[in-house]
Amino acid sequence: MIQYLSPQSKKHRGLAPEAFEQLLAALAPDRETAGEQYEQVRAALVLFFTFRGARDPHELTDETINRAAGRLQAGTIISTANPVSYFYGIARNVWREMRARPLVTEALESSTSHPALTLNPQQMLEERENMALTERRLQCLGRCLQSLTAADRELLLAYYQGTGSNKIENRQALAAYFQISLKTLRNKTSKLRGQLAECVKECLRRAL
Amino acid sequence: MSQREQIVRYLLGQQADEEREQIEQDYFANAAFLSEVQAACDDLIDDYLHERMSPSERATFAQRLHALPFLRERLATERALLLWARSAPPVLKQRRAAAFAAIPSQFTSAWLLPCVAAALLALVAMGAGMWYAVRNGSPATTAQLAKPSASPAEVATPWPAAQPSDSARPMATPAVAPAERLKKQFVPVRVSLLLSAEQVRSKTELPTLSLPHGKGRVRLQLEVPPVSPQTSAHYRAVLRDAAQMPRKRWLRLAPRRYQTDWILTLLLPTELLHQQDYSITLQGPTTITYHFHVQPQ
Repeated sequence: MIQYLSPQSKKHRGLAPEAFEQLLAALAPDRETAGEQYEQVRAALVLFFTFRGARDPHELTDETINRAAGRLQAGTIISTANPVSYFYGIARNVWREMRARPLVTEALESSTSHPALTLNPQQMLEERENMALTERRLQCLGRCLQSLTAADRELLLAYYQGTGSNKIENRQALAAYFQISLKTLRNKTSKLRGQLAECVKECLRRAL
Repeated sequence: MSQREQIVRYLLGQQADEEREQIEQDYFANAAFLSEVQAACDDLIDDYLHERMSPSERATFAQRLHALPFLRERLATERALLLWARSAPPVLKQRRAAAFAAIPSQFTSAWLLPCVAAALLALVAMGAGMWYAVRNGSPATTAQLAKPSASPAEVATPWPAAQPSDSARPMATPAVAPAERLKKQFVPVRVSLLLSAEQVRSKTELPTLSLPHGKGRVRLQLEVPPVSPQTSAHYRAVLRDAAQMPRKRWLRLAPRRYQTDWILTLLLPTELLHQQDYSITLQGPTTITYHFHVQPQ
């Protein structure tokens, strides 16, 4: 049973069920292992596109997976030792094509996430604007947190409360308390954070 | 160069194309290595948010963020989550406290010691009785004495078999956690308002707090002047309504530093606020009054 597919993966944006089934079958003979492999593919693709500088790595991840599924449906057989590696080649093509698209002029974003190293009046003004944006973001986050289950919300808050000087001990204690491994804890919080980020982004978009 | 250093160089975009591609191929091929890279990425973000980087590392990372819009977005979400988590009650502590509270109260109250003492006395008496019977060679008496007055289960567990505490169970089974208990533990922050020094000066346009319906808490974040290490950083605060009547007091508040700003966080129940103007006066290293308006959402 594939119960641990991420919310994004559950959508399989644009992927027909039979194509998805074929994709899973190509990844591993049993569904459980295939599900794990699928999660690994997604995680690797998101990381790849994030650090190549994509604005929406999830969208490009979907595009890559859809292409791979399309090729499999067309009769291509994965020949790499590790099926996950097969996606790397496709991802590079997707990224290359994305870069080749005509540039869209976008307004410069306010530098919300990086701190001013030295302050001048312009930076101070930006800081004020950032504070307003932070305020809106917090409001959105409050709403989005309510959309999580109480258990997920608590887990996420406990995870972030456990950051700081003794982060490692706190995370270990948290994992032990919930009887899960550190890796599972990180994966779980990563998925929840992804869900929240999507929700907050949408909320901010509506607020602007 | 260690693997970790190579990963960090990859994340910071400090590698040549070939090296970068090698790292990418490796994390596609190897799940354990993928986990390593993800963990290193988490640590970088964490160190950045908690200001555990040297100025040069920080500048490098900030520069890298310019090129990575998705990471920038993630950082903003994490920063907001951190702010949120810090103002919420400590979840794990509460869970443990709730698990302790689930033990019947008579065993955590003044009865605990007498109960334990009585159980120990009973055991000693039983042991002495058995020793006496064996010594006097009376099988009938031995059998009688060996049979405890209470059932074996009662002797083995001097208090009722504890029901598994809902709150002590892993979160993966939310169905067993009664919603009511969770509600009591987690009072959500419904709305936040950041009051900056600039807004203090401009009383003509009061910042407005849109108060949502329902019970919960309101978080007020007050920007305060930077605190030097030599100064006592504690403030007292009073919330006053439009008629200048005090509505809530805080006696000892310490501001926290977020990047270049010092923020003081106040939490208050939503029921306390109504549609009108409010002011908060801070007294400490400096005295500041903040004004805001509340209107229902």
